[in-house]
Amino acid sequence: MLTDRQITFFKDNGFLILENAIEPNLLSSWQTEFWYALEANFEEPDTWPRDQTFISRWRFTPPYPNIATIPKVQATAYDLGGSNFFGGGGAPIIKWPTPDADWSMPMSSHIDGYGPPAQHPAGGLTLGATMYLHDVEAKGGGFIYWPGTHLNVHNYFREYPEQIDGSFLQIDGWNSSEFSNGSHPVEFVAPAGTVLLWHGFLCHNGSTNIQTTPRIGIFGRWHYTKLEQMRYDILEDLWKHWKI
Amino acid sequence: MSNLLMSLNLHQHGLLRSIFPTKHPDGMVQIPSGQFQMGGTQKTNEQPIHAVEIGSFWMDIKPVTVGQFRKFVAATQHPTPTWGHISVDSPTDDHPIIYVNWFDAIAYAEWAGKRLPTEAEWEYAARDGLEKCPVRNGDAANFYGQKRMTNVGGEYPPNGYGLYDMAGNVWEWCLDAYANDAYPSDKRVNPVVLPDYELDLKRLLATNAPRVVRGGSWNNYALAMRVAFRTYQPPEQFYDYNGFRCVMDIET
Repeated sequence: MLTDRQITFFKDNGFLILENAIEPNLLSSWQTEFWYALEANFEEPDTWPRDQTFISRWRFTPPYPNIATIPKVQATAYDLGGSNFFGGGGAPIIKWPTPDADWSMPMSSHIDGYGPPAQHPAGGLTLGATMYLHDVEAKGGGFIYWPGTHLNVHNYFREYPEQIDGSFLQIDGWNSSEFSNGSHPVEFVAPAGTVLLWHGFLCHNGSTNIQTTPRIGIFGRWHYTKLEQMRYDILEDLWKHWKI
Repeated sequence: MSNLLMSLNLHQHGLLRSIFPTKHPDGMVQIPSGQFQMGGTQKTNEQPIHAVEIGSFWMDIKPVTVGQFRKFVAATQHPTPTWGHISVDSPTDDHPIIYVNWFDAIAYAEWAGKRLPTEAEWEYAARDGLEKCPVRNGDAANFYGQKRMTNVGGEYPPNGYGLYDMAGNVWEWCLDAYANDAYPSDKRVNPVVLPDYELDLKRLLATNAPRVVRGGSWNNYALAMRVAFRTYQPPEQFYDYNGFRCVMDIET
């Protein structure tokens, strides 16, 4: 059960971090299954398939086939959205180490559901999640997010409701600073098993991994249950369809 | 009300109606009665290995197909599944039905005059008469990285009883509720594991106790196909890897 403080934090900042979200035994089992699927060994860089950056259609063994079924994550998603969200599955995404590359904080961002690299329908994303399968250090390919930008995006769509279908991406000169302006990017550095949940309007991006171990991100995405009716709604109250 | 799990003798308790076909049912094979050593040593929930005696029964040679499930849906008021989702990974009527939960499987079985196998029956049949069944490998079954979708029954070799896809393809729902410590050290006869307050089918249908799934699937870890591997799902949950097959009793 989320505390009032956690809910307020999520509403203000657009993200929430759950530490130790997955039982150690289950995390270990997921690590084993993941590397078995890759036919490689985490401890042996020579075995890493560096041209493979995600695993498509992969599911972990029941009863926990994806991040949405982890009890703590499932409970939190319910605390935030009640029964108004569905989905939660997503592919593991790999950032292989490139120690010789330069590292810098990304300057641009995106919101999921609109244009590449997202592979899901335009709009309607309500909640995202990522969990690291192994510890991720600074500059280790971490997930980058712009706190509070879900409120910027909401205000933007209230001003330009006709662009909620994704047409903002076609406007000459438009760039992601329209959404992220005023917020500074933060690198999600965390031990394995930590989950970051984010509002669908929160600006985020990937980053380069210049450390020595791969970053394995297990992603999840929830949409509105009534996706077709709600995907293009611009609500005065951002939280109208949420439980919080 | 206790959640204590217990082993029941399926037939003695009359828990489910027995169906005795008068002739060899189409698409089924007779599994002879016998005794086997159920369980394994690799995971704690497979232990202890213990003796189980199983009566003879008929078992579907292949998992229930999309075409068979279509007939069931057409003939009943059962909710229509999302055929578009199913067709992505089971594109023809000969592929196994997927995206079915435990309640869907029970409803189909009852309509077909059959029932779901118990976990013990499933493992007994999967072992095909062998005390120790080898771990399946990619030559013998459809696990993650092979076909990247389900397969039509018959594409991979059958086991010793003539059953296809007892390893890989789709996770198969069993009748039993799941418990980590379901296995006793003493011998069991035709066991089924159910919460002790579910002594009749109506109450069994009304509870959300997790149910056993067996056999591994087309998009899961290869070692989950091991014959003793046990896991479970909430009965209302369904994915692109959930299917089932049915059994019928043989009068003794």
